[in-house]
Amino acid sequence: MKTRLILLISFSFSFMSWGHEVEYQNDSIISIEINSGVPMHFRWIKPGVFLMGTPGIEEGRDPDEGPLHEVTISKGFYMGINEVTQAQWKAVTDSNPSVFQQGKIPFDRPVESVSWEDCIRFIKILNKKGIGLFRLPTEAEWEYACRAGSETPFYWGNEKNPALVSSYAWGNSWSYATTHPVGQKLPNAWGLYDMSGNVWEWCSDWYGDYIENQQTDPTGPLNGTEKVFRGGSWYDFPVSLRSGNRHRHVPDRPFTSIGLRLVMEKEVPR
Amino acid sequence: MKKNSFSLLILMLACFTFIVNKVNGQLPTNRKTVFLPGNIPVYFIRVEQGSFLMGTKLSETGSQPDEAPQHKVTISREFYLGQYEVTQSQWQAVLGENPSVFKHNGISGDLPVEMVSWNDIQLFLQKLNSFGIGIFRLPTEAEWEYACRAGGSDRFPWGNDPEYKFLGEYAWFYSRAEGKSHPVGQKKPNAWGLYDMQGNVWEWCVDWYGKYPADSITDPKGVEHGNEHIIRGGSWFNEPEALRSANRHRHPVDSRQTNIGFRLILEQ
Repeated sequence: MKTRLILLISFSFSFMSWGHEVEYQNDSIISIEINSGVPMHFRWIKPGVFLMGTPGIEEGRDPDEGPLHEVTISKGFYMGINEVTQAQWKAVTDSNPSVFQQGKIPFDRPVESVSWEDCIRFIKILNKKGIGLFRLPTEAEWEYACRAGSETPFYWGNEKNPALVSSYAWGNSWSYATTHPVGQKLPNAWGLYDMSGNVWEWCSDWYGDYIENQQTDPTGPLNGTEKVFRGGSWYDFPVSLRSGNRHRHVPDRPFTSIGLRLVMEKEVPR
Repeated sequence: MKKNSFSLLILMLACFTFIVNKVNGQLPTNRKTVFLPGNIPVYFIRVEQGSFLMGTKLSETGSQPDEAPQHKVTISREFYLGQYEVTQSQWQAVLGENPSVFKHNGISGDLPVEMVSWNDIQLFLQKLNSFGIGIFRLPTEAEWEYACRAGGSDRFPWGNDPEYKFLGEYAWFYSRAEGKSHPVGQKKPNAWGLYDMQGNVWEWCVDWYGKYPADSITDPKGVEHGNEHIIRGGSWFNEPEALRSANRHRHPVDSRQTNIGFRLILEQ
């Protein structure tokens, strides 16, 4: 009761301070059942243009977040409303590699300790089920969906004070050194939860330098040694939760702070 | 011939150095080993009695108000402190289960036990003390800080380390993406031979959290009542400042966290 009240207050406070509005489109949610009782929800992300990367003046910025460049997302796509949960991973692969399985409702926590390659295997099996065509988001799609129209360091604005960040994201100092069930924090303006914090999310791109020119539907460098992941985690401080922050690792190493979110290409009619 | 005898000399010298190191480095006289069921060893280091300045002057970079006032503490009796944080095999050997979130995963080395509340540890101690191999307890906050400092008065046992150049040699702390505990004893020990006093997991102390006294005190046991117990040393989850020798933190008695464990004291 008390927490609900606090949530309500912080929510209305966020409306007042930044004039955020959750722009839910009509009929924009699709729900897929992986197995009986294990649904997965996606939200339609409209095509559009955005500035990818961060301006030189952004506090805590890493050099690889620039140059700021214009990106066109020419096709809409369905983005997972939540990070893939342990229950969903288990429903597909019949296994659960996650470290954080403690507590009463462990399987609502995001899956972690999965390498990029594990995620690709997961998607392969999922795609054989005939319920849709799924993939990892590109880095550009991820940042576009994360920013949800914002050009500030965070999708909630400029605020990096943990007292406020903690209403939107799970990060170090208030996460109790663990992941948390998905969707407990406030969503971004397009209704996506935990884009910042909880677990980092693998993207399909190899890591590389940004290109200065305007681009349409970029998919990153053709080759590389490390894959990109985005969004920061339960383990990271607000500076790593910024929408433009990039990080990367080799594709065959799992980490307790990295999971994934899916993009659905199209739905197979049933 | 000349070359050969020179080689022999070098070889003898090497042997001699090896033997001396062996004598000095192995089985130190200030160490005691206790065996748990299943022949699982627990190592303890003798800490001599003495005095030290507990807490910080608030001029110390990163210090918190509750670390003051700095006050003289006398530890009147020597004690034996666990050389390492209590490991998962040790917890398992005593209670037959392992509540930790970070499990071995086939990697060599023993991880510290975590997800144990202060109350859980009381049960562990009860069982352990029933084995008749010694009387064990949690350290007091004063004993902990005394042993952590190991004679030093700087921010860290090895010095002030303003840019945290040496912290990584001695401690596991926050490092992007690497969110987990690590096998005990992989980093350098402090001057008294204790490992992971800084970082890896926080360590529960026996004391309730409360204000420090202003005056000199002998064998302090903390405030009489409280809501939360002291944890010390910082963890794999924390930024460097939380790992300072004087830093204090606390949690409720029934709180189980992935980054809080403990270290034992063996009573005489």
